[in-house]
Amino acid sequence: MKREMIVAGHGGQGVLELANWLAYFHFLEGRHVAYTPSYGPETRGGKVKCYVVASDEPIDSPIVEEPDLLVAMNIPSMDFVPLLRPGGTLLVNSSLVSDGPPRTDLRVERVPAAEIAAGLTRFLPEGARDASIAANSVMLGALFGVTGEDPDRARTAVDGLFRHFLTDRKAAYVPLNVHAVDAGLALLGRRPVPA
Amino acid sequence: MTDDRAFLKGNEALAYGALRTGLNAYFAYPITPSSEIPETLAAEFDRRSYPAFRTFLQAASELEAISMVIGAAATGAKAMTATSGPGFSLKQEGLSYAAGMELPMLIVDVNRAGPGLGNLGPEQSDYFQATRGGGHGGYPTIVLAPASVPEMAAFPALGFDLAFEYRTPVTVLADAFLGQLKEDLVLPDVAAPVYAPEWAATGARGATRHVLSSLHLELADQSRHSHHLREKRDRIAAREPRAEEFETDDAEVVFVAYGICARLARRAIRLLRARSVRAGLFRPITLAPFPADRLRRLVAAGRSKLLVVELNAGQMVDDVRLAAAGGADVRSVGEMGGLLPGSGDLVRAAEAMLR
Repeated sequence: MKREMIVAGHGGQGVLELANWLAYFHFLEGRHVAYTPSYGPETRGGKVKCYVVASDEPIDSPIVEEPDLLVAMNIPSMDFVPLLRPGGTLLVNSSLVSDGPPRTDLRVERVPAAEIAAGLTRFLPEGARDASIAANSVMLGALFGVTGEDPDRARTAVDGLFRHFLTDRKAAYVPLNVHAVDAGLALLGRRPVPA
Repeated sequence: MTDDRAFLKGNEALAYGALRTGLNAYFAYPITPSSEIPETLAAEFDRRSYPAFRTFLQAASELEAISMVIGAAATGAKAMTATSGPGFSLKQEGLSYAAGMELPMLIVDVNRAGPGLGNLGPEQSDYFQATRGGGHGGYPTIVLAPASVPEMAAFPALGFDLAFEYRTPVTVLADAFLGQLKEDLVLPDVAAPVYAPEWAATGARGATRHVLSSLHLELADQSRHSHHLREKRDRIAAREPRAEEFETDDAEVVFVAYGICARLARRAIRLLRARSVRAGLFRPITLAPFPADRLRRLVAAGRSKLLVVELNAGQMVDDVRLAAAGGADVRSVGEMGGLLPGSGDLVRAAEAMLR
């Protein structure tokens, strides 16, 4: 198994976190992983592009030139669509991107990530108001769905993953993010939305 | 799968590698893209999880930090610092003093782009500065070039071993890409504690007095010292070059690349071999001493087309030409400014060499 992915969006969307969680999921699955964050001056609204490579074999180059999968969180991310391998998968955040890609040889899945996340207000910690911040976790769940991860396995991994990364004051956001992943999985995976 | 399996940034892995080899002291002056090294070490210092790690100190400048490393190293401690870009220039004065005083220490340069302030992207443009020794006077240099996060974790141990064996500073020359890249790795074992070597100035009452100095006012004394440093350089050059070869046995074109460029070259080799072009890789692991003899043997065995890949305008290519001594067609390809060459660039450059 070898999967090469690009996760792109803008600063403030949790793109780096999404890519990091995705890489860590594959790490927990026992695979070799390489995660290249885009970095530089950290600004809300700045362009963010990350590479994630997961493989059963050691990884030669961590640079993704021909992705199998592109997660496009905003309109400028659609610039990477031409790089996708024929037959590759495009996961679009349809909350921000309305146009379809100018290619017909791709599997395209549209995920209204912000709207789905906004519907999870009941899982917010007390005092917090905007559940749409979990849009990145909805995309993570959707991504597990399109790549055919076993939903139960993915859910168990995600639980451990969020407990690993969301610590201190962020710990209160674990339930929201777990449910956001569930919602993404439910949209594109095999598992129905939990009650 | 072991408990020591981890998923870390290159900079974080390097910090843990240093801790696990028994780091005693770190003197910080953080600068992007190397700041995760002091960040990680500061956090672990707070947790007191590595008993040998007794000092973490944030200095007021780069010069102060490297001077503190000199002080700690003089007591026989495993001491280090890390920097990037302009910070590496500022520390050259201290490196010169340390080499003159024959002090072991580890310095990490996470190479960023451009002269002056440049930017935060990766380059390998500090090659000359690191391998030739960017400080004044002549002194031996040992420069290690990791190419992966596991090597970022492993090289502090190798670096300190060499530094103490030869009593000279060792540089780990990484780049912004390797510093920020996250990969899976197995952390190195925790080393057994070591005690101060006999030359150290420990300040112990009644012990033999040790003078560690780079000042030799008598010309004959400095001459003797300089000849000694030269002899040390030659000994290092004879014993310590390290390199790795990949698919070179039948190669009609051999990439010569280190660090992240070696990873890019491996992909290009796979693509070229799929197109029936027999390509291989020669990867220097020590940039100083440069593995010249091994490269010379490769050329003598008929590998006469060498394509040097670097993130600079062509620096290591000089060492490759010296090693090949006219016996090979040596060409250079690369990128600068924080960008990396694409596989297509490397494939085209290799194919152009065969036309």
